[in-house]
Amino acid sequence: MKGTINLIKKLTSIVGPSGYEDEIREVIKKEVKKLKIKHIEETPLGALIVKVGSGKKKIMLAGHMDEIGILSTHIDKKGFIRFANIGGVSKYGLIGSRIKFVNGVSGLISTEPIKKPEQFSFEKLYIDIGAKNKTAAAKLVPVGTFGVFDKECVVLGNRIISKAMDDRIGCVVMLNVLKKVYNKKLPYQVYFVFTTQEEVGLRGAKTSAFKIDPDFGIALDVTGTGDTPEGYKMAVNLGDGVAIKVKDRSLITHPKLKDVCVKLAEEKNIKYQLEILEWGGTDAGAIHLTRAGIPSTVFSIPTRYIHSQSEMIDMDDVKATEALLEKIITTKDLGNLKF
Amino acid sequence: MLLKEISNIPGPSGYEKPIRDYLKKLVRKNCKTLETDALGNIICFKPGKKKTPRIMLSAHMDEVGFIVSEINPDGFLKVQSLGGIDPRVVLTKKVYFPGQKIKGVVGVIPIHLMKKGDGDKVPDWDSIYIDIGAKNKKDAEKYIQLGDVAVFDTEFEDLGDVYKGKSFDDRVGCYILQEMLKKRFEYSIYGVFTTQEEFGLRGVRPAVNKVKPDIAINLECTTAGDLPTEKDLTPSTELGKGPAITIMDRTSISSPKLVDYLVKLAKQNKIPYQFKRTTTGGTDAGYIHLSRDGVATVTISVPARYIHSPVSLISKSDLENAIKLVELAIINLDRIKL
Repeated sequence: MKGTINLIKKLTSIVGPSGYEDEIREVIKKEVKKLKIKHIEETPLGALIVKVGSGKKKIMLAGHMDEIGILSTHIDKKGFIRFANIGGVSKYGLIGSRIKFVNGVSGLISTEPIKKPEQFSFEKLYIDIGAKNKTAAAKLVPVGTFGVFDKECVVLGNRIISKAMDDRIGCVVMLNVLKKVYNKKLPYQVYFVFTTQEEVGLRGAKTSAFKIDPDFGIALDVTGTGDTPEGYKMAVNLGDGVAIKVKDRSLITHPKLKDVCVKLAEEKNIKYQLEILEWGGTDAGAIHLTRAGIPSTVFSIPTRYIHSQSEMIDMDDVKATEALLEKIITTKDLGNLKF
Repeated sequence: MLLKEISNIPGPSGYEKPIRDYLKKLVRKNCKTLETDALGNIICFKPGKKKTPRIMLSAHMDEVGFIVSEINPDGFLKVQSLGGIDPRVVLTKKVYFPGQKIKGVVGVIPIHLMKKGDGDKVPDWDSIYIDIGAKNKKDAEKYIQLGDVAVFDTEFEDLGDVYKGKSFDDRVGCYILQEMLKKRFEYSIYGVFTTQEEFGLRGVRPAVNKVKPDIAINLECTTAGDLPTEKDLTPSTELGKGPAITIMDRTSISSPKLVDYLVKLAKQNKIPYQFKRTTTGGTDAGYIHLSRDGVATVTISVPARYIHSPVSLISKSDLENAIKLVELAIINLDRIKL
């Protein structure tokens, strides 16, 4: 438990916007290398592929390393920086936010004066890095520099809030399960894939899936909850266990695959809930359409305030997700499925 | 100036034959193999001493245009756009139907006959029609059938520091690509002239799967935003400031390694360059980089004012510097570690 929390703190603290995942990949690679696993490779789009186990069938697990962020697009004479979003960044809640760029420079977001709420738009926002003028600012943050929110990870009892929980928590789940199973005999070739560019269109997973050509795909990612005041009508609650994906914008889980997941969860008394997400998609959306089609699903970690700077998860859900993932890759049920 | 022919020749999305035939004739002597695939892409191969990495240069042949969707009883032609055209820019423009060798104009109500409020309206495609001077539907049908396609009828001109013409997006890329095929390189090059880019980045998809490149440089023409607007905080690119390197757009994030590589080359060789500073729009790179198990991809563009309209302007120096940068990028490939 303490080890997991430390790993969550470590991974969420790293700057890794879509397309610029070098640093987070190196940290994850280091964790994997401790296990002395031979089969480690990278794809042209920067995904990290770690393979363990043997057996005829291949399972691809995908957790994305990248996080939402911003990109500097223009510097004015006084050194204020305008920016574009990387992935789904909401303009609300940006005022006063701290930003950390991939080169380590910090800044804060503020806005031009707004008289009426309806005047508020993304274009009104700018980043102040404390530079005196354009020349000074351009030296520190040239146009084209990527950045992310700068918000630390805080433990609130059994729940944890941080930026980039989407999807570093999926990476944590995968690393923890990898540590448990890597020296066991597995009935499958299991590919733990730490993907890239999920937030801009499920891109790293698409090319990784082509390369691996798996028989099954499972994404480990966050999902929304319906348990906040006047929240969306959604039957997923924080703390009620791993959410087995039934459907989202990018994927319908094959019914047989869903049934196996449910059966395994029940057999092992793993707390689970079924998830129907009316918006959003995950790497499984890209994986299942690869080549001739690959039955895929998602084990989701319920998360409040997704794409905000403080995304909240519950450790019980993390444990349940790990348990179900371990179960499905160590038992033969999945491989026996006939489609 | 070869760009004159390359930009004057018609070739709207899906109907690229005239420009394809011209380009095939132009580049054939410089390539070992040249093939045309089912979607009309030209795929050329020019071998060098080194077989790897496999480098692909691409540019799209198609331009924005029109397709006839209805002929009304008076003989006027209703059209839909092939690719993204702002209906405001087409009124009174001359158009050309290459398949039928027929010219026409896009009609507009003259100022004398305008009713109160007409001037405030933005035209939509329902109100736009092409006039080929036909007496009625029957007369029109002697020359034009449903599904016939047209392009803007604009002549290329040299205006001193800039060139004026139609279809610079992306005939400028085609021009750079054919220039590269003339040169001798140590590395083997795949040159791909693609189709239907303006209609959803379509031709490139099968082409890149066939070529299987390790590195791709997509050659484009992008929006210049250096217009005298009241407040433009992010001019996408500016004319005369050098070729534009894309960092990110709607369809791709360029390989950071390739971006760094191009920036270093440009600085070392004193070639002016700029970044494309908006993240909107998409190019063939969107499908190139996602092909198979992924391709390190970057887009280099020549900035143009007024793209997707009857006339665009590009800077001569931007075009020359783009050619220099692409050439250097191919020569020095051994410096990249992917």
